[in-house]
Amino acid sequence: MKYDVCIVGSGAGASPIAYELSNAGFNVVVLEKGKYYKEEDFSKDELAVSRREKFTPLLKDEQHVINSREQDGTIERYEGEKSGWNFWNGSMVGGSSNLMSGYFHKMQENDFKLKSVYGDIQEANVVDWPISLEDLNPYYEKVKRVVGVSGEGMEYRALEVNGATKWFDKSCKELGYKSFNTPRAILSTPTLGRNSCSYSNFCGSYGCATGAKGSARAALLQKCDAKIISEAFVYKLDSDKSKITKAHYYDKDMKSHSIDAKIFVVAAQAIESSRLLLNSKNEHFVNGLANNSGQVGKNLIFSGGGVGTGRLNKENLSESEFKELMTPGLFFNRSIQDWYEYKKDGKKQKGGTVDFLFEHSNIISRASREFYDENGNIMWGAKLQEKIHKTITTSRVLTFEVFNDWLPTDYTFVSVDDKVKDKYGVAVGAINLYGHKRDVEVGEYLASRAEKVLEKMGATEIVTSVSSSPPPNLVAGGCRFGRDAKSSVLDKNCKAHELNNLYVTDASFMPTGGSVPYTWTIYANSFRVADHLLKILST
Amino acid sequence: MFLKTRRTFLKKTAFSTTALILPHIKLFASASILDTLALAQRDLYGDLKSAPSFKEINSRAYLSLILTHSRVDEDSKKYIKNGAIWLDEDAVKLYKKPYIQLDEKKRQKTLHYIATYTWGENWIDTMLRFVYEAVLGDTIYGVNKNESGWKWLTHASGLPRPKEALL
Repeated sequence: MKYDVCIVGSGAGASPIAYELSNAGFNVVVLEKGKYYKEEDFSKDELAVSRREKFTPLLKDEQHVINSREQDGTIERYEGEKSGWNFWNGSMVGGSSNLMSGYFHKMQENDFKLKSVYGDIQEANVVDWPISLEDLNPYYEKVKRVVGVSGEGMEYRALEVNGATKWFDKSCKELGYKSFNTPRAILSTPTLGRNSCSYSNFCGSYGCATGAKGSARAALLQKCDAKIISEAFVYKLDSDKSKITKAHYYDKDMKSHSIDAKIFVVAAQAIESSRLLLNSKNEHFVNGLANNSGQVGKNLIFSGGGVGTGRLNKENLSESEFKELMTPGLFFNRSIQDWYEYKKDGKKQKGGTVDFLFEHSNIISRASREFYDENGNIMWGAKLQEKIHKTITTSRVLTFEVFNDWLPTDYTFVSVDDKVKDKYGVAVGAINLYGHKRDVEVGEYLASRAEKVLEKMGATEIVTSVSSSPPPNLVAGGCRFGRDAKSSVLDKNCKAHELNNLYVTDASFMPTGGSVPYTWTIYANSFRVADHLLKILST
Repeated sequence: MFLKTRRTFLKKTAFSTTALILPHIKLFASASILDTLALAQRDLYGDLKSAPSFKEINSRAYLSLILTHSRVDEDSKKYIKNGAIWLDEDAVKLYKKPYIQLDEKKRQKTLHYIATYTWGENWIDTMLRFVYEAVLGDTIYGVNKNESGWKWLTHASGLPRPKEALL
């Protein structure tokens, strides 16, 4: 059988295409490496999800190699199985969107033209996008309606928030900051054939048991007739000199199968998509598919920034305020984008977004953070029990997350490591890392502003951590789109310059990341490419 | 000299890298590694009246589960067991008896002694993490009996709860 479209991967970059094309009557098959979990399979089991990492492949079976470039130019090599360092995030149908927190911000106008607005930055491969916000806006709107985004000015009313947001907003006002309700890809009301949020107190890192979270699976794959083959690891794409001819995959019993299709869409997450192309060398593409330009895997990016925390204590609050603060389940949902652009030394510079949220409810993790005294010495016994009890029952931690550009450089890219193979016998992805010093400077600027809100609220133990450490759940680039085939992998429709029927639609296409979490943009772009494919297939 | 070398090794290898089950001497034969681990867990957990009792948390059975868990790697399991052997070695060095034969005061002194070494601090940290998994994990794992740990910290569990344990 020849399918109209074969999609490798099933996350936010894959599912809009499966949804749109199958609902338009085309034959679509989705190949997903992970298992097919549904709402009834998800629970809030901290031991399984957060401690034993149920949704992460065992590293003895599948790992990454990480080559970290230090400031002095030396490279430290880490094998995932030995170091525990990995970049997996949601190996299952629907991908990492199952586990996201769903903080949805659109990219802003200048994010699409970083080079022309802010100029070159030394050592950074900053470019303008080949499309504009105007091109993407209709699709951002579509995501609001179809995936479901709640919040002020969104398609669905805002989720319920904790009373402590009143003090937060007041503090921001006093500081001259403008706070706003964070849009979330979580339904606040039953609609779209899905239930509303149950305010279960556990959202990020956990699968949603109600279907309220706008995962690619719940919002799209379960609402279309695309054929989904789970536990299907695509290890190679075949091609002739102008088109992909077959996708080969192993099933869970290591039996090999192949799929024939008119169009192939790769959306296996930024690192794995580049790895698949690089591992699919043939006589026409000796450096990997669509890689005669040498650009596949290059300019990998993450979200720059970091996190900060502050503790709100019972002793500084009235009885009713404390009761309000400790109410479980309700969201915090506050963001500030006052410094999306700011001036440094008289020159305008890209800044970013700060989201505020409560510390995750994982109780074992919260207790574990109390194991050391103020001098950094390990504690145990009754003293530790007292400390854990006092901290957890008389205070609550407010957290902020900073999102700013991770500048693309020559030193952060995906390659394959032929010395290390996964359980399928395929060379693993190597992640080559380097953090541009500007990323940390901007992150620190934003964090210093965010800290002032916590101070104003009377928080204690304010701690900030901004570094060039890459967050595995916020990864993009590797197959950037652009107008020039010599310096990009994909054209503006996310079709490979060098192949007529290969599209890459996960976050790989992004040449720069914007200063927001990526998921809304990945969804929107995939809906945009789906429109393009509908036109192609209809003619 | 041997201890010094071993600890240098441990400093480099920490938790998840290669560790070996060391051949232990006759003196330790009377106590199983699991007995030593269970006693160390009790000593590390504490006896605060308002906290769940050590019996309620069922941490010995839970640790047995961890030592056979499909998603805990073999090096980590070896590290836990090796720690018990090294704890015993240091108990013998200090008091000429294995850990399990010491009174509570001497056991605490032994724990404080090993905590001054990087390996000891790391091992105690690891043991505490599994103890508090037993205090606060879902009851489906046979721990946190009557949700006593959650009640102690007025913690509202997320819903739905698991229908089966991940082993």
